[in-house]
Amino acid sequence: MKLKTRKCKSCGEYTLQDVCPHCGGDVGVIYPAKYSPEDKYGKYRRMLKKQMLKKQDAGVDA
Amino acid sequence: MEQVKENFLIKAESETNPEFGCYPDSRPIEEHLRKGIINLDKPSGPTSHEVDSWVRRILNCEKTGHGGTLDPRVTGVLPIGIDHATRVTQLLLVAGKEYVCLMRLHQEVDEEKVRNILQEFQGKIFQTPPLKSAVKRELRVRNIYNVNILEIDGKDVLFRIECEAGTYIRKYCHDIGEALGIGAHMAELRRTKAGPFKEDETLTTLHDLTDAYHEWKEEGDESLLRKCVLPMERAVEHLLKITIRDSAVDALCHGADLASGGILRLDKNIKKGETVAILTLKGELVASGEALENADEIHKSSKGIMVTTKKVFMEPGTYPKMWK
Repeated sequence: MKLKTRKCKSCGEYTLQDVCPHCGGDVGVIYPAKYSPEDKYGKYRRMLKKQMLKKQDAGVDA
Repeated sequence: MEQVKENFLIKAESETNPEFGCYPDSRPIEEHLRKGIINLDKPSGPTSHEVDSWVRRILNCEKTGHGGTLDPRVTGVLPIGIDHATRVTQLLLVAGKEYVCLMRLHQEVDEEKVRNILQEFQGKIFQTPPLKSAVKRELRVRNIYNVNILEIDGKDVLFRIECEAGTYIRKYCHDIGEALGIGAHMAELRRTKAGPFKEDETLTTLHDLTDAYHEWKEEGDESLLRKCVLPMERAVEHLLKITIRDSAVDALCHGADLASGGILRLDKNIKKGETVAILTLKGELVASGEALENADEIHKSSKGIMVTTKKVFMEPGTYPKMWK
């Protein structure tokens, strides 16, 4: 089932609307991603995280 | 330093011996894990106990325990203690909680009416635990500290609620429905606070925890793990505190009560009968106890038992034995 409550990505306020009524920021879901103890794709998630970190570092340097 | 003076009464000065114990933030990583607590963001689906055992598997540890059960569909702050810190979560079970809840009314009703009822459902309320619950089903009183309506959209009411430990929000919504005469149920719930733990940068998902442990085991980088796992002292931040001499520590670890002579500084808000956290000069958690006098009396006293020890968390032998 789809949940109706949303949470602002920038100020953390909870709302039912599509745009944060407090700061006008983007809203997202309020729950963390599903987790499975097998964690089949953990390897790929870690690879992605590393890539993103690298990109961030490169961005700071440039 | 000013801050410290404002909130604490200083009874005596003393120094701590660097040869014994360890500052909570500089424990070696293995010890840090054994005395660690995680501010976990519980995903929707598993029960709190399942999440517990997943953490046990992820971190390869012996014991875990959580501070306050969340229903399977509920998400949010679920503090989890590891190994030695497992029992520390008992102090969180009785701590206040905060939730964001979406309540669905079963019929359209005046907004004003809803606001009035929620206003009424504050302070002391009566509640019977739901049919399926872990405790005895008898009427009990729970304190609702604050209810704040965030939004009302037709039959959906979004509100933030601060309440005492052991309040059933599902039941709370049901009861409001009864009071309105139209019925209502809890549609969505997320815990935003449990004692000192809240939704901040320390809130960790199971994914982050897995990756941090992996990073440490495979790459030898413990920095991520230190961000995910907090020292157990973080779990007593909401309690009033007493700092004691090095020489009193081991006696307490063996179950002795805290006498006047061992006390160095104490929170000035301590009242008789309240739960206090007992810390060393390095800030390590020794035990929790119940104050037998108010702060002023403890400050003035020169002898006698001031705090009865309730739960000991430090291992005996951490500090040298100074008693006979």
